[in-house]
Amino acid sequence: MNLLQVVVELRHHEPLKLFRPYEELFCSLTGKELPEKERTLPLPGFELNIGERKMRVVIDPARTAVVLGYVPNIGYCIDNVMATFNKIGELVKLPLLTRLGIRSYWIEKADVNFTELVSLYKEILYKPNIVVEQSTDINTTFTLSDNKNTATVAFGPMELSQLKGMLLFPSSELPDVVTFLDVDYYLKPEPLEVTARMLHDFANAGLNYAEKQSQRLMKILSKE
Amino acid sequence: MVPIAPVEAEHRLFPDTQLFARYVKLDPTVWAPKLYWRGRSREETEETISNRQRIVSFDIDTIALPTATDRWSVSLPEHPETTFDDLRAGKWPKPTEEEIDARCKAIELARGIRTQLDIKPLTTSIIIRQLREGSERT
Repeated sequence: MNLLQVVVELRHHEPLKLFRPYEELFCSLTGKELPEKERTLPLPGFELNIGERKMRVVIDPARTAVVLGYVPNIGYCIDNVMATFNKIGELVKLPLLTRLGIRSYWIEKADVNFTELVSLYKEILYKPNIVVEQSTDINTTFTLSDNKNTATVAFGPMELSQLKGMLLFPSSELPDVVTFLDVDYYLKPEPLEVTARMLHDFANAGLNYAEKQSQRLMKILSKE
Repeated sequence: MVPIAPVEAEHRLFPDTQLFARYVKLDPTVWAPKLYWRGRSREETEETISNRQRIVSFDIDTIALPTATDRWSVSLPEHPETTFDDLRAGKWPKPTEEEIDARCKAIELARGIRTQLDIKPLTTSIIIRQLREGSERT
């Protein structure tokens, strides 16, 4: 299957200090932590859309995320994600993490029309019953585990109009009917300090896991 | 594919009014996210996302990132179109007729040299024998 989009999201234990200037000011002037009841709203988040790179960087109080719409290979994705987070890390220390996720979208062009592809899914994945027979569309979701990480794997037939809506940077050369695969690979640790090595290894594991799932899915759907 | 229902409603979120500090004079809805979490983890079900809150957005053409793509360049005279990312993705260019001929000649030359010099592979047993005999000859 072809990789179409990658999102890496770091969800923080507390809002980034960058978005809490009043608390920082209070703390540096008084040497005390601002009482809980006095804490202010963080400043609004920041989003950077980088057209030529088909890339979006989001830094908001709760999370830091990178979206890649140009994904020629896994190495490129990891390289760009790491470079972006390294750059953000030079600007602000990232708080402890409560969730770390890498989500990827994959497609495989179908040689049949949408209705036929839905029928193929019914035939291969489900036992015949009245609900299956009457359904006009199918989405299958599984939650899998991979060592300490979890993966939500969703797939199904998809038409071009829906596919375009799923992508942040839709290409003009997308097929009319595809098998769509969405792999959300994540870790929900006790608040954990983020390091470059950990982030690199996680992104690498997540994308390789997703690629393996995409190969498995295509093998299942090929009826072999 | 049937879209998965949004899960925002399940999140433990706080309305702006509950978070309005006394010394903040601006209406938070003017400049701050409408809803936000406050040092608490989200519900179990939330998926990996890029953003959900109201944010300040900027559009730019490009950005300099310290990526390997920018650090390395590939220059193959026979294949000027090949990039570093092509090679990283395992997309090696198809060899030209000249390159195939050159490779065949190189292999032939190497075979000739090996025959003339009587070069034999250095196996573990040969190394052990050489060490015992104190000789480099096989």
